[in-house]
Amino acid sequence: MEKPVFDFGMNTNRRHFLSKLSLGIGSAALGSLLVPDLFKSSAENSVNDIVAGLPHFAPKAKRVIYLFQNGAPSQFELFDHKPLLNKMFGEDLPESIRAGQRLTGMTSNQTRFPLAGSIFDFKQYGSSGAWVSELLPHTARIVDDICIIKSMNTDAINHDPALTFFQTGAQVGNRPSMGSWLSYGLGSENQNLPGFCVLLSRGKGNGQGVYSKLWTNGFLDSVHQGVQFSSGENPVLYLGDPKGMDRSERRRMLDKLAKLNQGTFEEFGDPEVTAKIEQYEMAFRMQTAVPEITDMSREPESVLKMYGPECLKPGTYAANCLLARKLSEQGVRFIQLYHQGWDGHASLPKEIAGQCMDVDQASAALVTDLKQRGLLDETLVIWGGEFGRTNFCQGKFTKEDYGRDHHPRAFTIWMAGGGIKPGLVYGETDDFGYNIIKDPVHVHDLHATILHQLGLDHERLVFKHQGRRYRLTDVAGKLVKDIIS
Amino acid sequence: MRRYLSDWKGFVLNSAFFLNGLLIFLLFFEERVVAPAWMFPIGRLHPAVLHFPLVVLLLYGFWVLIVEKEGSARWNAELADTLLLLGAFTACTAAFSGFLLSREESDASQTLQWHKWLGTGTSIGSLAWYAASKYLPAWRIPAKFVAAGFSALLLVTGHMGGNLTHGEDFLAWSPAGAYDPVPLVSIDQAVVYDHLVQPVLRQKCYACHNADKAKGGLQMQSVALLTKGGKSGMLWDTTSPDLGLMISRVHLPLEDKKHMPPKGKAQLTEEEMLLLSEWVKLGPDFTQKVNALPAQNPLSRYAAQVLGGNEAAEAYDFEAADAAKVKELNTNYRAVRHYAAGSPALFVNFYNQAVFKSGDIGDLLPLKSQIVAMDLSKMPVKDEDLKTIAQFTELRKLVLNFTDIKGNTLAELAKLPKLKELALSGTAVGRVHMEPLSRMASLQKVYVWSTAMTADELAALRQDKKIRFETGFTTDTTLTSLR
Repeated sequence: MEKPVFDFGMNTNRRHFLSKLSLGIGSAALGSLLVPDLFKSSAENSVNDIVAGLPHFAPKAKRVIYLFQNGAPSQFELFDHKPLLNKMFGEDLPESIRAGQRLTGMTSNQTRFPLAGSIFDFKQYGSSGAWVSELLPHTARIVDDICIIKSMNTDAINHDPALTFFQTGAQVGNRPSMGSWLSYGLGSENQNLPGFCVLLSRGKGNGQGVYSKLWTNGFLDSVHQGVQFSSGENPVLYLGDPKGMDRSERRRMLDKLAKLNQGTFEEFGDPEVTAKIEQYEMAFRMQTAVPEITDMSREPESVLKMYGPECLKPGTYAANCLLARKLSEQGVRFIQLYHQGWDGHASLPKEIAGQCMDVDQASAALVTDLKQRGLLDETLVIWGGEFGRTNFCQGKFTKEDYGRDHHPRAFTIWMAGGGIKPGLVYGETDDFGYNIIKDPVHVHDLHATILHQLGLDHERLVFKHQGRRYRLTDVAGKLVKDIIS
Repeated sequence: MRRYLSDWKGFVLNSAFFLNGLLIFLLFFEERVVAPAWMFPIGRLHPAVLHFPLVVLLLYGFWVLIVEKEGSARWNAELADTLLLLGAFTACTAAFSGFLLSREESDASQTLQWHKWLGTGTSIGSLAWYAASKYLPAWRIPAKFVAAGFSALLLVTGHMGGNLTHGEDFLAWSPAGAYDPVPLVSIDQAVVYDHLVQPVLRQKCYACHNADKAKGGLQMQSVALLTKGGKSGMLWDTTSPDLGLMISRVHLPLEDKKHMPPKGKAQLTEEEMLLLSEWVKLGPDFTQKVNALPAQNPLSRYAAQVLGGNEAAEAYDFEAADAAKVKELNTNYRAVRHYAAGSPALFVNFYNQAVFKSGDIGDLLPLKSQIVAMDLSKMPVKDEDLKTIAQFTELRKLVLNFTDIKGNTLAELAKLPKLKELALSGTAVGRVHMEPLSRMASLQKVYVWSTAMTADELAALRQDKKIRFETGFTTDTTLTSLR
């Protein structure tokens, strides 16, 4: 190339530059006419998107009841039938299967990994022919109403991060819980009750803690926080008026208090103050709504019988299931149950049998009860723990007794109602039950699917916080289309 | 590049520059662009406009490939320059119109995305190349490579565009789309052969067993051809335990030479194998409807999985209610909600029996042409309130569980022409009150457990052909302690 020509070409003068620049600006100006909200901030857009408290598209489900089995039940004793483990009972897990995948600190120094097959029998049930263990006779009865997902997997290997991950979509704390996201995205259906309620119960098995950070609203408005219902006389603490105070007096007191709070709000503009006013108002309405819900006297005998003898004993899993149905009937968006005691590191067969006695009948009854009320179509019920358990034994190993460590790579949960395909067994693990060989479902995928059933697009349900947009599924999550009817 | 509007090439160059700037801007704000209606025709011109850059740039590429050094016979000082400039200009008009056209497409496929970016690349790339080509005469070898690259880019982009308009297999060697597409059907109308079996055969078998290839003398595209079978005879034999040729072939081990589909081809899944066997067990029957099968039949299950999602959501044809009115009628104890953003349909739930008054239902009458579902469960609703409820003529679902109704005025509900689901559980209704319900044409499901009816009466109701009576669950499982 000749240098003078090149120099000449590079010799852009001011007039030349400006004439080209004006063309560029002109094209941008014309283009800007086609982007109506160009000069609005995008935070405004994302807020407007959900401010009406309406689903993005027609929902299949209106409410969720999450029966969380805290501590991680063993899939091998309940749903994931693996005869090979019985055949190879006591033999070591082949290294080709584990392939160096991580272990917890509790088994990493074990010299042997003896395979342990379930000592409980399995049979196929329903027209789906799903395998269910003898520990769950009632669940076996409803297999044609539920969708069993055998290919769940999670990122975390220990309880706290795994639980937090399941509830909030992140292993670190302080992100909003699933129920808070739904309350934020859909609003409350019944103004007299919180949109997100939490019920706790505990079995006799080895337990793991539950803590209020699991139902936190994170950075969302405080009104979206989960409200814990406790067992005993007062399901919601401090809700009743003290002796000698009647409702009109309470009303006057609240009106005065609201006035004071309003003054503070006008002075400082802190949205937490308005949240507080709203919460007081709701508590006032809850004073009449809650007794109606906890009143079991209008429940027909047949319903009580279906949930089992424990359902009238407050604080049991069965009682919580019944309460969950009543709350859900009253329009509570998200009811989160936790049942503790599934952490079977040792004496697993004995412990899991007890746990199943606690939950089997009531879980199945809940699905049946919703179904006979015509509510199962609009209520999504989910049953499962935070991860699964290993196919090999942890600690003492005999023919009758063994323990299982944490296993995040494959475990089983089930879902029912809310537009989930009934009678489907989804996903598959290998013959050792160690790795997933078909249709894996990650926790993010489950979250995306739950939101989708409630009419929310998990990529559009966002909240801007500290300079970036957050989602329940963060930057992952893919709708599991195959399980949606 | 020193060209001004006085010279036609300068005008064209500047227009191309302008259009490319506009295009980049629009792509940058793509999600938020709302093109006005008058711009749509520009987008629709894309199929016509796109041929200009295709032809001009291919001509340019061809010319550059054969052009020789100055002074030779194949030398022309201006031709390459003119062709490239025209190519760059027409490429950006095509890209711009293509962008507008893509805004009309709601579902952006992978191909569309690629086509869009390659098209944009061609447009911007050719203009940039025009600016750069001043320093690289067309007869030099690197210029020939770039020109060849442009030709290849054009062909790929064009091929994708062709796939978009004519379908993926339009230019494929063996077009699988040569057969009629399966219409989407709901499970109620589905026919086992047409909607379950044939799609599997088409996907996994037709490629070899068609009119052109007919491997093993077998063609499968029609009922007659299937029934005829191939060289080895009939495809099925329901009297044989292995159900005949077809089913035994698909069950052979993969290594077996006679295994179908052959090793290396897309295999049948277990569900599909089950489908074929169950279908052959039916005779095979080419007209069997899915909903006429017993519920336990594996075919019903397969159909539910394949076709389950095809039920169209109900489309409501009425106008949305006044938003202010909806807001006004929402109270702490009565939730009036839209089903979803943009849906005119409303549903109503009542809460707190202590504050419920009969008038609460009547208050909603201004919204009677929008309310499609009403849940009054546990409210002290009386028989006479049904007269009010009967005025909500758009109702599809009415829940009266555990209310105080006795059933005497249930006939009022016959005035609801669209009612599909009615829940009466936990009320005092009796067998005699069910009579008027059976005359309601639209009614499909009624919940009546825990009512005044006896077990025998409920059992009789369950026999009803038209309405499904949900009579509740009675347990027959006895729980035994395991340890």
